[in-house]
Formats: sequence, C-alpha cells, structure tokens
Amino acid sequence: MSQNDKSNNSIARLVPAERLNAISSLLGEGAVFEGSFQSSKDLGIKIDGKLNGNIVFEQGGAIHIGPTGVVENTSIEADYVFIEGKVKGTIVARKSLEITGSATVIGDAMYDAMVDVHPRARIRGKLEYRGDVDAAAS
Amino acid sequence: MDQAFESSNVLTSEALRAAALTASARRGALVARQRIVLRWSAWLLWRWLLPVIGLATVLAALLTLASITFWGSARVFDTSQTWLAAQMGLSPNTVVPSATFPNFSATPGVIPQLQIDRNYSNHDQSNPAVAAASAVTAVPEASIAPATSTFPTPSSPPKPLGAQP
Repeated sequence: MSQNDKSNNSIARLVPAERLNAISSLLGEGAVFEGSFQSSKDLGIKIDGKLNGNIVFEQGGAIHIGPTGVVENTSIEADYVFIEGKVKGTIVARKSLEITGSATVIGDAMYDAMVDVHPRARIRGKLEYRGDVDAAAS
Repeated sequence: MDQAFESSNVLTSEALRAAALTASARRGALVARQRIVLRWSAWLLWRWLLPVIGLATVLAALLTLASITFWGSARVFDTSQTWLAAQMGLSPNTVVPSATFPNFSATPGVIPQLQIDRNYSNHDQSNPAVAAASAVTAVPEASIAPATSTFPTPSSPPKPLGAQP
C-alpha cells in the first residue's frame, strides 16, 4: 500500500488519504456498469471505468472517480467525494468535495463542509454550500 | 503438497484489493498528469503564446513599413538581406559558381547582380564573358525564314461530318 499512499497523497489535498486507501470496491478501467450502487455502510468505491447510474452512501462513504472514470446520468452522494475524471449529474458531498485539475464536472455540486477545486478543473454547473451561510460567517 | 502450493499462490481478498488499488493509483497518476499538462499547455497557448506571436508579427510589419517609408525600399531590402546573411553565417562574396547554370551570375564581389532584382536581370553584366553570352542580338527581319507548317498539307478540303463520300 505504500505506492498507493504515495500516489493518493500527492494528489488529494482535502479528502483524507486513509479514506481513499480504504476503498472497498473498484470498477476497473474499460469496464462499463449500468445501474445504481448503494450502501448503508461506511465503505468506499473507486470508478476507473464507465458507470451509468447513481452511487449513494446513506451514511459515511467515499467516492473516488479516477482520471479514466466516467460517470453519467448520476446522482452521487457520500461523505467524501474525490473527482479526477468526468461526472455528468448531481454531486452531494456531506463532508468534503475535491475536484482536481484533470476533472470535468457537468452538473450541480453540493457540499456541507469543505470544497477544494484545483486549477484547470472544468465545472459547468452550480457549486452550492448546503450549510447555514450566516452561521458559518459568524 | 498440492494444497499447500495452491494456498500459497491464491491472493486473499485484502491482498487483491490492495493490488488493484495500487495499480489503479499508478495508472490514474499517469493519466491525470498527462491531462493536466495538456490543459495547462492549451491554456498557455491561447492565453500567451498566440497573442505574443501575433503582436510580434504586427510590430515587425509596422517596423518594415516605417523603414521603407523613411529609407526607401532598396536600402531596406539590401540592409535586411545583408543582415540576414550575416545572421546565417553566410558571406555574400563567396558564392560558388553553378556548373548547371553558367550564365547565372556567381562572380564574387557583385552582390546586386546576384539577386533577381529590380532590373529583372540575374546576369552579371560586369563579367564580359557572361554579358556576351547573355546579350540579345538583333536579327534582321529579312533573314527570318517564313514559317512552315509541320503538318502535311491535305490534298482536298475536309468534308463535313455525315457527308456522303
């Protein structure tokens, strides 16, 4: 796991590396999956292939869309969302949302706590903080 | 024995997960780096490189026009060609004569005649041999033979198409 730790740590700035390394499910590059992925446990999934459908973690959860990953017609929701690939749909991150410079997001993204958008990231849509703006300012 | 061999080579689910994540991270880092470099390059090209090239072209054109206006085209062109030859490390006076085109001016020290220039001449008129070879001699009109056709003369006028023989 040392290689994995090093690779993830060099890219992610907001999503904890231990969450990315604790991912339990992987859709490999070149694979195509149509359908929804849902879990009530605090797990994680990484998408390197193509997914048509939703990804929902009712509590906890980490979603990592790799640079080769494409997720379309989707509504993804988890505590941590880390996007390096292409996403068309709605994103909800309950804790932190990170969009890297290799990512393309077409759709609305919502977060409750923290967001990090790297330079050269492509976003076409609304970026919305779901918390209480007045409370956060005070 | 076989059972021990098989169990030692079968990956556990945890080892398989770790190996898959490691391979995915390695491949992902490569793809991400390539894509980010491509995006930065495209941005630099459109934001800086093309405008700089365009501005330099416009400035060069303006400088050329201004120079021609103030000093005249002949001086500007001669100066620019001399400067360009110097920049390229060429010496205009050491041109090797061409064996293929002996009438072409290649005499050292006659730079203006080397150019296909304003006088529409590429012959070195300062070289007597070349000048004589390239001189146009007037031919008396009476000495010109009448033109003759190389086609055979028809014995009878051609018949229209469809006419009876």
